[in-house]
Amino acid sequence: MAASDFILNVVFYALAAAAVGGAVAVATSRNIVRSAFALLAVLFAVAALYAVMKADFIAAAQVLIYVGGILVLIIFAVMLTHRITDVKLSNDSTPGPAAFCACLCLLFSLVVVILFTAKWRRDSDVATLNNKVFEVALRQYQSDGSTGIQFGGTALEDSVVVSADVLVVPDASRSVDQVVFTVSAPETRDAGGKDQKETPEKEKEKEPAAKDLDDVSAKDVQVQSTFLPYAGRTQTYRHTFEKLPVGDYHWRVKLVGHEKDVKGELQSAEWTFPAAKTDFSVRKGVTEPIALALAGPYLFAFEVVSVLLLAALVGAAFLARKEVKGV
Amino acid sequence: MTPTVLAAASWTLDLTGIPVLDAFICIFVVCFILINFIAVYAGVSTYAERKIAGHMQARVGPYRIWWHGFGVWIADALKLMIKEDIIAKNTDHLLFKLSPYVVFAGSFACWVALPFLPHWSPASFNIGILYLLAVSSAVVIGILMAGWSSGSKWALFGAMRSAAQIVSYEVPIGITLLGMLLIYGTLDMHAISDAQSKGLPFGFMDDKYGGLWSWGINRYPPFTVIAFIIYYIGALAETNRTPFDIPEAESELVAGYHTEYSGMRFSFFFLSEYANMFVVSAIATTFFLGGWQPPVPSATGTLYLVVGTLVGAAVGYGIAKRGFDAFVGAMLGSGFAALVAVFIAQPAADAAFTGTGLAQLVGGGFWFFSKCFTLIFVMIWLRWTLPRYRVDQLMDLCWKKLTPLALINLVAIGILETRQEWMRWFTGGHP
Repeated sequence: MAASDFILNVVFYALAAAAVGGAVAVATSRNIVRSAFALLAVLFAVAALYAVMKADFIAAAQVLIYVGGILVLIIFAVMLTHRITDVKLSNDSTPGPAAFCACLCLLFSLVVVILFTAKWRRDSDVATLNNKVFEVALRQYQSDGSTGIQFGGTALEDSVVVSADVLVVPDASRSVDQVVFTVSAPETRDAGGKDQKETPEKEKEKEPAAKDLDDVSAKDVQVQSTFLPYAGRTQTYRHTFEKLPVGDYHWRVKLVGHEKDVKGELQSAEWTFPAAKTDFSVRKGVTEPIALALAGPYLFAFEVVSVLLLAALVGAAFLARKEVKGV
Repeated sequence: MTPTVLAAASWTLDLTGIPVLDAFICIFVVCFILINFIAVYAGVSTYAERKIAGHMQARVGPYRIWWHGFGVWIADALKLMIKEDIIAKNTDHLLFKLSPYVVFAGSFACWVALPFLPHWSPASFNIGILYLLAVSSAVVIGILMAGWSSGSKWALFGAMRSAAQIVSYEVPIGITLLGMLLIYGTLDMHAISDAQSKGLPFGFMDDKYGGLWSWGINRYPPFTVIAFIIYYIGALAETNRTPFDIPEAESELVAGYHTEYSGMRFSFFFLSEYANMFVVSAIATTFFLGGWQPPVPSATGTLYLVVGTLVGAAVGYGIAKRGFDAFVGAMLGSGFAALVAVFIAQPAADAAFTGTGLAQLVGGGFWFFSKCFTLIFVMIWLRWTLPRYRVDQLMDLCWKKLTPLALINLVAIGILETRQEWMRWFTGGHP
């Protein structure tokens, strides 16, 4: 994977350079039309960066809104303006060093905010379970690798991969033979499409229905022989649940293995993990998760984007205003 | 984890042992094939366009090179390649050189998301249609770039007209596609095609029937039919085809936004226009005509269809020879007979057509390309039939007619799609 990572790093830095270079061109170009076109490079490079971060939906939305909407609006306004190319940009009036320092301060504060406030996670939803003997990091993602939109553990209908990275504390007295995934049955959604609120009672009711889905864990036994020749090593187990019906799920992981007891004899043992953040829901298609996300936790951000469009409109109108001579 | 470059991991080959490098090599190979396909397809389309135009105007069209003049598009391509590349003095050189690539990149980028074969497209996106709508906006920017950098008023006028037209017609197109997305509930092009495999109009008999009746256009007639017509009109405007070719109106603007371009640079605009025609036809095919779903998903139905088409072509050719143009006669005859054959054949789904074998792959590709080329043929047909719109008529059609109609359509489809909820609401929870 090292070579792959290297190539991806090269891709990332090339895109980042394109974005920064385009931004510099936007700011420094003497020709306002060229500035507007340099913005195209910035917007596309940023969209590509989103795509590299697996956020296909955000990348497409970025191109759709910024390139298809705002940039066209700006270029339109610039072109409709009478003799726009003769106009010298107002950037000239700003003293260069002061502007540079101001930009540096802004950049610095931005970086600080990003580093210290944002929660960076490698996967969209990782639940780390720990019972002090083993650490199990559980992930779920789609099998095709193009997890375009995943908002809070929403997976698509086709397939869900549940994987466990099992880290065993270096201790020769324990060995693990199996990883057993259990996915409890979905809450049936009635034809009206209304989600039923989860209650602890309902979880209990679901247990009998989970039987048929329990069967999939039998396949994980197949990896038994290759498992853990020695302790202290992380092993990844994957299982794909295909064609899960639409609904909300819980899943748990159980390790089955052996442990030396006081006399030094191996006894079979089981380790279960407390269920922390092991929910995921399977939705039909792509549109519903997007709608749920946009109308739910991201409603404010979604509405704020319209202010951006308003700003672009005002900017375009300002650029397109007629020069009144002799006033 | 390796992200989007491995989006198409299902078909990435193991060449070097480095997954990302393999993915890049595969992407390069597929893009190479696609670009060459676009070039050949655009060339053959120009030949078809000239030939159809000729026959519609009671001429024979190109006839000199090879059989019925088929080699003329190769000669055209060679001519474009060896022509002198002229860059006028008054141009903005950088943008002038850049814009053909931006335009072509915009239309080429769409091709990777088209569902050419059953469950196979060059890149697998779960946001297919959103991606298509997004990257095609680069074409507008490229056209504006070309028009502005040419330093010519004809080019500038053409670019402004084109941009205004494309941006305007994106509105009814978007609303129309939104209505269809309500039905399918997904943005994935393959999932959309899959959703049109079974069922009769208005959701009757979900599992028994397939084929023609299950296509998106037949889902909620007449609203989905109106949606298809609105989309098709919008697609004509988006690709600057007649009757909406005011950006390159010869009698007014010389050649529109590519007036100042020559040689290979011109041919990029040319390729892009034909590539765009295919893209909008492919989107129409996927959303309304079932994508790669066959019109009659059974062996007997396919037999009826093939025999009917051949017989119809022969009969049409025979009748037309006495009066009309034989070519047009054969076309009309085969089309009519194919329609009759589809209507006669039972559209019941056959087990042999629901598998995922090689036969289904080839058949799916055949149907997808057939539908696309039929839509392209209609575009060419319209070009040589209808006169050009004026700018004000064009905007009038878009904003005062198509957009309100599309909105009404959207509401109607939404109500029909949620009819069970409505019924429950009316009956107080007792359906």
